[in-house]
Amino acid sequence: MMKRDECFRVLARHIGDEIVLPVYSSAFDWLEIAPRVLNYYSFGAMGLGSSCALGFALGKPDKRVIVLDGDGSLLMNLGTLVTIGAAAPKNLVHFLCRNGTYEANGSHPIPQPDVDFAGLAQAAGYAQCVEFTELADFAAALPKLLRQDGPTFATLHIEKGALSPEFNYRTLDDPQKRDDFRAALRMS
Amino acid sequence: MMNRDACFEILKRHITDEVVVASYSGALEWNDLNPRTLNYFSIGAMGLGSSHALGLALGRPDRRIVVLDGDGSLLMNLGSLVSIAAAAPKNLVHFVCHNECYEANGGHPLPNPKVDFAGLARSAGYAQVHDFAELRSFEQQVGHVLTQSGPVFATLHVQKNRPLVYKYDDLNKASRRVALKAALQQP
Repeated sequence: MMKRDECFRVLARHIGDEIVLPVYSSAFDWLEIAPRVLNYYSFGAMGLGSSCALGFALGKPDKRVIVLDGDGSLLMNLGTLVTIGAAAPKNLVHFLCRNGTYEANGSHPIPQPDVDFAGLAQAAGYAQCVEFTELADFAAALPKLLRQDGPTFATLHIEKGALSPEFNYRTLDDPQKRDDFRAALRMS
Repeated sequence: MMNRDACFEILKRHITDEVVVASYSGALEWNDLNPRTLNYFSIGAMGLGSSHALGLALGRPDRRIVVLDGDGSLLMNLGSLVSIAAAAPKNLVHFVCHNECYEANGGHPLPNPKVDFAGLARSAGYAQVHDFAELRSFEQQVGHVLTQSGPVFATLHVQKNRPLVYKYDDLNKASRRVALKAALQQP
């Protein structure tokens, strides 16, 4: 079992000009660790992070798109796995932070704690599917994982976070962030 | 590859007092082959057939609930697999007719025709998972599939069908639901 912020700190070392799309609790962790214009924070339309990422991946095939998804979020829109499997963007890397709860909504448990997300992605048609429970394994595999032809899926087994995190969504909702993101995308 | 109506003919021989929940094209064919009070036709709220079946399975644990789902339908509500696995009703048998298209809506292809539905069900946590492409093997095993401790999932690889006449008015008749409710209230 890993900690999400530790995983993200390792990931941040490998990030250059990729589009990174973190959702809900991950968005707050990632913002603290790697604030940058090419972050797209996805919340509100819960579960649609990977769908937005698919759009970016198809629209910018020359750029890597990295999703930092949550297990609760993915369960809200599970069909997205099949859609991504069908569109098969080589430049999409889909990380799933699996903590077994809807953390951002008060840490309610997900309905089926034993669901095998990497297996679901495999059955849906992702090109690469892996899972990690040890930080050292994750760190060792990451360089290849980020470069290989996708769509790539990786479950990160992480510990539960705080019971009722106090999130200030307004720090993520700032319209200036989206304007900057758009401008940066046009430049890149 | 099998024909859906041939699969249903075989299935019919094993059906007695089960509630059969059938969606769209599967519903039309099942109704032609085996009209009965304990059929529940799930049309309109596309994809929700298996969710309704879950409710029936939890409400009537003494009865078998058999779903005749479509691949297009299931993709509209894929999270249903995880909800069913979580509730884990032993009395639910979920067939998916995999014809690689949205047949009732004009035969548009599925976004990913080769998606492994049995693999999805296994990963979601179904107790038993099957995948049938040959009628003979389906015929041999269907009796076992229907009596296993569930939730049971079985993909039926079927061909696109001959054109059907979609008589939804007939399937949607209120009298059907009234009769089903009355039949379910019997002990």
